[in-house]
Amino acid sequence: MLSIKVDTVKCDGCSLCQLACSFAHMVLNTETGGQQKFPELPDPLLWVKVCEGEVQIDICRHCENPPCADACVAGAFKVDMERGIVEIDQQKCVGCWSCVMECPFGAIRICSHSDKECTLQSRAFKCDGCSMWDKPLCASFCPTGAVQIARNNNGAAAIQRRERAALLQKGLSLGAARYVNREIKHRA
Amino acid sequence: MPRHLIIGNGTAGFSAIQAILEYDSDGEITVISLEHHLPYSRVLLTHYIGGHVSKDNLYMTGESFFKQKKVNLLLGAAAVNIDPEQKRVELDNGRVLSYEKLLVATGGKPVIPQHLQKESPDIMGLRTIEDASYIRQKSLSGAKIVIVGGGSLAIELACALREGGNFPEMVVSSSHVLSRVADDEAAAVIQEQIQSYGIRIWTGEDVTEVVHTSKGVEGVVLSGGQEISCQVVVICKGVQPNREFLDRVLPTIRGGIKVDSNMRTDIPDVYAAGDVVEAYELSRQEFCVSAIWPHAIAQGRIAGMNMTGQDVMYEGSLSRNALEIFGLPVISMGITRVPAKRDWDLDVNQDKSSYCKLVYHDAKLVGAVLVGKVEKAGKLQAAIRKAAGIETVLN
Repeated sequence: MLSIKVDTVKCDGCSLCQLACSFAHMVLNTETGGQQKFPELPDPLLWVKVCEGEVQIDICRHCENPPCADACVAGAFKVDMERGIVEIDQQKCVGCWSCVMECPFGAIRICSHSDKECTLQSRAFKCDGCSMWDKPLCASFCPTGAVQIARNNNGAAAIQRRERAALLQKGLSLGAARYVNREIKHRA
Repeated sequence: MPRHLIIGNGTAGFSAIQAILEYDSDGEITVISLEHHLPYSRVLLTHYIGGHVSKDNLYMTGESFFKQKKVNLLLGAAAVNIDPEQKRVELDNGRVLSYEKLLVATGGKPVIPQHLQKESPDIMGLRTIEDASYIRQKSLSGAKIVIVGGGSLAIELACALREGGNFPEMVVSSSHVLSRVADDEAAAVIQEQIQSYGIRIWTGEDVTEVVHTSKGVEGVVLSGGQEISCQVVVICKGVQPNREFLDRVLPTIRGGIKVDSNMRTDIPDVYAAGDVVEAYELSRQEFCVSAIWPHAIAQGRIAGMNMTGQDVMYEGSLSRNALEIFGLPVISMGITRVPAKRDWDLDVNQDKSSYCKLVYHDAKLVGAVLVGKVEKAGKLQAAIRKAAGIETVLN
């Protein structure tokens, strides 16, 4: 999977990553026949907010056990282990907000364009992992190293493998990891 | 003998099948389904009525999935009895199936108040594809529809009908819609939004009688005495667990099937998951039925994994709800209605386009209501879980 590290302490809120993201997706779309019409730059797929001196970077971490996918009532989310990303099939999405409610990184939005030609209208969207670029452009352009992304298409990235190994050592199976966090007292 | 027998072909059942296959790929699974359908998404039914989703896209999987994975699917059959000693399940068609591990995922059925239970296809709940198709067809033919109830299903249905050009009326017994999940302020905003699209809402009223003649339904009488003429009455008063066939072996006074944190019932080798169970609720810290999609997925998965011999615990449910009312998103989570006591604290932010209320108990975040701007909902949910002692491992 993509390994995405966000260090908000390093971030100075310049938002260059957002701009790079918009450009990354615009270039692609005009090259592939220009079927989509962009009156302006497309929306970025990550969001930087400075709020009371604190910076927030909302970007999808492409989790291996994504709660957004579990919550999707339309089967629109898919974990693509080969490409290392969590993707949304916007044809299936019904814009029910369930994924927005689940993502602990605040990384999913529902498109509110009123433009009727917008194919994303009322559908969920988020970071698509920049599959068409060697490396996601947000990380390439980040001047402070606040967003760092490594791509490892062969499986879990090193950092995640270490985490998984640690979990396995504790005797937990991988799929179970999400649920084994706390003992709940058996009902009396 | 099937190693794994699953009663119920809904969200929890399907989630359990996937988990079992992951850990026991030749696990011989048999699924008993009351409905003559492949598993489908009930949450999409209102979207189907509203015309956003085609019937084909309601299904979670195709027939090929069951063939490929050699999962035996018995459609149109209901379990009528369980014999825990012999480990056998009796079906309504007389067949008897043995099991090694059994999962009860029979879901729920709409609550229809006794005085409204009449033999008419036009007094109905909304739970199945057939229900949805019937409502859609009636709506398209211009029938007047009265929705009884003010919960999220009632609102989603009202919005869907309105988008299809129908103008339903809602009868809500509380003083405002969404009385269980939203507070008064949020409800006022939501109600205004619904009404601004021409949907009439009767609050503080009950339907005391359905006027029903040989021609079919002609109207409803409200507790205040008013009559509304209509041809269809859809009752959205919540769901109750489908567990009658278990009453002899698992007696209960009310509510769903009791399960422990491994989703086991009191009967050995019998598990339960989804809308039919009472599970631990994190924010309220009590066991209750919380019939929502993500719980069914998680509980089904946990039950399925444990059936294959894993030892996985369920962290508990956090009741939550997301819906959209004509472009206005509403998300509520955890405890949203606060007792007027010490130790409870509120943080309310409201402006023209949004409303946000955070609920704290003993300085811990236990609930939130968001209207309009809801982007941070997921982060708040993570915060509520963290306050309840749960850290989620995502990778």
